[in-house]
Amino acid sequence: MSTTEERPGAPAPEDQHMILEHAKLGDDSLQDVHAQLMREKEEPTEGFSPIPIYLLFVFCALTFWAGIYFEANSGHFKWYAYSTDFEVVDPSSQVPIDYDSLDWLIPRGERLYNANCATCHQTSGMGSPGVYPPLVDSRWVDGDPDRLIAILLHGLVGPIEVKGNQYNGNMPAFGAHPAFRRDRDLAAVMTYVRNAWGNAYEPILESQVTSLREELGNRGPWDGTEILQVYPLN
Amino acid sequence: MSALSTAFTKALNPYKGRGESEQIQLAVIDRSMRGPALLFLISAVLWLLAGTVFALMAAIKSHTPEFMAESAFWTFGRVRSAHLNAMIYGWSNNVIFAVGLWLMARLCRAPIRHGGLLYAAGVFWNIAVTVGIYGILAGDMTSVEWIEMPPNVVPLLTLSYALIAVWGIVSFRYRRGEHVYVSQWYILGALFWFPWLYFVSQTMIIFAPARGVIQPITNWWFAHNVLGLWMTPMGLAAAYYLIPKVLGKPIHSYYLSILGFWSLALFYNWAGVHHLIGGPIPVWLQTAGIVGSVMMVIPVIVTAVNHHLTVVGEHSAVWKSPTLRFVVFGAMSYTLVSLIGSTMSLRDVNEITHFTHFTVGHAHHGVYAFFTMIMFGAIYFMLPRLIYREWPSATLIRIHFWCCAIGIGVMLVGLHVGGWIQGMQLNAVTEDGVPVYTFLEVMQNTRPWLMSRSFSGILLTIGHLAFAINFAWILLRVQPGPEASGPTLLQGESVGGGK
Repeated sequence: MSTTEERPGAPAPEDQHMILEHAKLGDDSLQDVHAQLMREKEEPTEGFSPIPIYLLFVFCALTFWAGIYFEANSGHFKWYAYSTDFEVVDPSSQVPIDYDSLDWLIPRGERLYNANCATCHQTSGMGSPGVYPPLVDSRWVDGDPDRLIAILLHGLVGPIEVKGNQYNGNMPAFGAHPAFRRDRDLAAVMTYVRNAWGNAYEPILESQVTSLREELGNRGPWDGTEILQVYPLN
Repeated sequence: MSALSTAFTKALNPYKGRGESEQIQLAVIDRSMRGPALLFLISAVLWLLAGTVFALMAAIKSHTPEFMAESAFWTFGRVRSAHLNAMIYGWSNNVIFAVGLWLMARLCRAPIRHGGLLYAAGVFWNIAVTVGIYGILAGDMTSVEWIEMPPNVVPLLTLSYALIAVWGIVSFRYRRGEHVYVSQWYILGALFWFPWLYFVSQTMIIFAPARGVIQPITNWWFAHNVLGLWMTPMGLAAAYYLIPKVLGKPIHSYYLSILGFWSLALFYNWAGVHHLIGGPIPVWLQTAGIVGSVMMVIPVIVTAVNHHLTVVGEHSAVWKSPTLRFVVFGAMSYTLVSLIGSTMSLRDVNEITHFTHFTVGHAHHGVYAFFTMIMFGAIYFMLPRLIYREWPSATLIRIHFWCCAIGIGVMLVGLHVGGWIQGMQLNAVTEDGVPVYTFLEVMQNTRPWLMSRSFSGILLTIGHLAFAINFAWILLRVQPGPEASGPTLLQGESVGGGK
């Protein structure tokens, strides 16, 4: 770092002076520059030694490993494969799911109920006094499935009477709710409600939800008297 | 060519057909970069000190949470992000602008034209970073790691970056000489890679958010590549320049350089996804990230061999030169941190190290022990040439080196060992699948290791202060001593202030 000897090939001093004048250097800074430059070594260059052959062998082995590892852990390049042990399943060998069976409806309905309904109606199905009516042993839940379906599809506002108590709440419409993307999701949650906490009523199926949805079309929420005129308690 | 474009080309072309000797060219080039480089370096050193203060606060809070807990401004979540952003956008980018542009101009034999724009852009860049970090502390940060600054400073950052980086590219466009040196590839690549990373991540995460898991993928692609395709190439460019320059011998092999550059460009880009191993993203993408990380062994080994075969036999020169002592420390750290990183990406290891302090240690290994140390060395080389003065105190350089080397060593051991234990305890389950340790126990057990980090932080602070004092002295014309007539070295022929 402390070279002070003259570098070969440096231009004659008068040349340098002319060029540095161009760079607007004064005499003092000219000396500074000289002192600096004389200590510097050549700008770096590169030698041309060949790559050691053993390195190339190592890199080939690495590349080979990379190919094998990539293929073995790629989840067959499916976008929906999230784990290395993912296997593609032949669709023809799968048993189709029966969406009308209680085995499908109940667990699905329980999950949807706990995620979307239990905030108001409670996981016990008991609701809260004055606002959210209970679903346990209730004639609103029992009987004609269309009443329950109609309430879930379009919502219900205003005062109603359940099991002798007054409730004044606001049941939102779930007919276009993002958590219930298909009618079988609505069917599942209603079937769960009709069979949980000691309730034991007929399941509600997807086809029933779909046909009532078509029949009712677009409409606002029900109020407490209107719903009972159309679907009286039995 | 129209008259307009001819005029434009003339305005950009850094020379007017003069035939100077190489040494005179260097003098002209150094003068062209002098002012802007000083602006960037002074900003960088100030940000380094600010970032160090934030780091110390965050480190202490991590084991003593009641420290300064009464002020929302200095809560852990904000101070940690302020530290990260001060170090990345304040310290690293400023020092890269200074060192990267200067190296590019020197290697292209083309002075930087229109330095006035560089001043303006540099001032705007630092204003934007200041506002951004104030925004973080004031609670306006985004929730996205590495781009926490409030979005309203992004346009200014982008614009100033463009006005700074373009001069590196213009220098390259009007370069002289047939041969393009390896440092030039790295700098040119990085000057294009960084804006691409920044623009894409800001767009896809903040301004026109992509859906769902595309966001974390973009986030980690960006965050890892800021290290991989911005700091790493700039650090390597400096090492590739300074090692042969100071030793006065050529880099061992052009072929190794070229293999190293292209394999880095090819593989690093994939590696960022390894931050999401086990996460809800398609498994083939995770595997691609792992393969990319492991294949990084190629550029790392190639660079290590190339540097080692250049340095071999010159160890006393390395030890004597402040520049090379830092640069070789950084280059060796690069090899080590990259090999550890490749190992960490493997699923079996990642299961343990993910979500632990091991990762934090690894990040500092890369950004500090590799990148920052090389940049310290580059500043020790560059500043005397820019302002024609010598470093006033070799003792301060020695304090700087040893505090940083020991400090970062203590931090790395503490966080790696502590993080590994943390990972093992988090994963430990009995035969019935019940966790052996509660979460709180695991956290308690990390405290001694976090305290060792705070201790290392104190050492690093001392080192940075020594550096900052020396830096201020050289700017304020404190002289090394009447007998000083050559560069400040650390041993033997030392003629500087080191007695």
